[in-house]
Amino acid sequence: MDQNASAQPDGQPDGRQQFSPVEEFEREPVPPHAQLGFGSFLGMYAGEHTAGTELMLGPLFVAHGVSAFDFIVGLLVGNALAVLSWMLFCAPIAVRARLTLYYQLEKICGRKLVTLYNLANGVMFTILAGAMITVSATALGVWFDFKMPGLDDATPTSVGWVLAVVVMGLLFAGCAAYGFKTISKFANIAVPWMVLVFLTFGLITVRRFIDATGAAIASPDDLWTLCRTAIWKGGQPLAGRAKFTFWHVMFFAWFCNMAWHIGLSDLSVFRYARKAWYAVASAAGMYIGHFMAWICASLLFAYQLHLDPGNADVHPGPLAYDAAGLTGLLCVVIAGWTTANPTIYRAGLAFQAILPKHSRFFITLATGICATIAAAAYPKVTMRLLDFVAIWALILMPMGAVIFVDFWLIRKFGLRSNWAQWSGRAFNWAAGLAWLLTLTVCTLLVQFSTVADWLAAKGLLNVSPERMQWLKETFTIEIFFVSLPGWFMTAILYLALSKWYQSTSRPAVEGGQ
Amino acid sequence: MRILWRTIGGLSLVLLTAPSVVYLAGRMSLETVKGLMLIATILWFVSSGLAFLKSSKG
Repeated sequence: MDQNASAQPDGQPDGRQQFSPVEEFEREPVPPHAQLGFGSFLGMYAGEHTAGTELMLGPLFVAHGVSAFDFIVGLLVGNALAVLSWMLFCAPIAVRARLTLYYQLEKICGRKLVTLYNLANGVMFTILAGAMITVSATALGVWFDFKMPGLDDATPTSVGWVLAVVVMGLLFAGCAAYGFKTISKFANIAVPWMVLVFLTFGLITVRRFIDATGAAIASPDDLWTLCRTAIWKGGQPLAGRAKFTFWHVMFFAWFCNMAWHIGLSDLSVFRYARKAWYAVASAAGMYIGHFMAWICASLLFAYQLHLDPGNADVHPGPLAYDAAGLTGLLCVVIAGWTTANPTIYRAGLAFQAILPKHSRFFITLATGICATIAAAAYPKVTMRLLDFVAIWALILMPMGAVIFVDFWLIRKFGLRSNWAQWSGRAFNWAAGLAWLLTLTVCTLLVQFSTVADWLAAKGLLNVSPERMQWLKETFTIEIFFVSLPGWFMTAILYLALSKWYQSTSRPAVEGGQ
Repeated sequence: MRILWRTIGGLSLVLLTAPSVVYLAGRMSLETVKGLMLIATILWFVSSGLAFLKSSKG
């Protein structure tokens, strides 16, 4: 996961670190003199995809019983697909239109629908900030011996844990509200150090595996055998977890940033790029943060399981401290802090767009407090971070499909692009319904087993047990896969609904604009 | 002066990573690795912080 966002802090599109054009051009195309070179994007992506949440995501792959081949090759392919998505979906539109996501969406969907999008974005960022607070709070568990939530705990497990989360959360919220820029500068300094500390986690833990198993490593083949037989062994996942295959890993790596590439949030970033191919810079972020960092973080947890198969608790603080001492612990706190800070800030900006009369300070602080409450009261979100990230991708992805169709295809079907701007309407029902219907159908598909059981219990679905089993196996789609058919569904729905809507709806402004 | 801080910063990153490579080769204890990493961490934040301050003023 990463710390990027779509809201726009002071002077920086999307508030990206190491990426600070002088002007924002919120409602106009970025002019040639303000466009940036390849290096700006390389630095930005390389820095921002190594976040505190990587320490949580890496171990969760192990909890899902992933095998070495599925994990490594799945990450290689999935991250390549993510980079291609930035290059082929996002950047080509960004360098042609050179508009922010919000302005582009406003032209197509209208101001009110963009407000809904902002709300969804803000809520998701708030929950993500809660996960980052949780990760940092586990560092306090090393010093203060309180009971931390386990992998299956939905609620807090001790007063000490709640206090740790509240202390960390309020500290982060205060920093985000009061000193965002200072912390951003500190984050820029911390990034190279943090990336290398992640790498040392991996190097140290591989040696510890060698010592613990007594393996003799004389060739790459020996190392691979160690990976297959001791580190990522495959087999059964931990209780209550879905078994992860190559496809799960590949789709997760591809879609965990779906809101930004296929969902087109990064239009706001690549509108500054001179060329569309600059999007290849995202590979730096993917292969440092979502490959190296996930692998190294997963090693920490795999080693804990190797020593004690009964200890399935994912606590980044103790894991990092065990491997790298105080440096590891510092890495957990700083990774959580420097990434929660802009996340809270951006969630606040998304809410401020909805409540413009309230001060940014007040809204950011309130958002941070909400994130703290969410983290303290419901640690299950963090323990289920893979699922949460997949849900996030699903919720925001449809708007990317809407923009894609509106930009490339809609005129070929004799329809008008940028309909909300032309008609003067504040809510494009074609886009709104396409979004809502896609989310409804995708949710039903993910929950198909539950829905089928409910219908059977109500007497609305009378089929034999064999038929019921077939229905469940055929129509249930895991959350990690549903966004792909969802994208096509939104695209087709938006075209079909636009055909109907544009022929029946009159412009609010006489003759359109 | 800024170049000096940047050089120290670069060396501190080497000091941060190299011990874990030596440990992987089985030629250093983990406690020594942890100690050297902590020294490297302090050096990094001090030197890069000072380099940043210099560049901000300059």
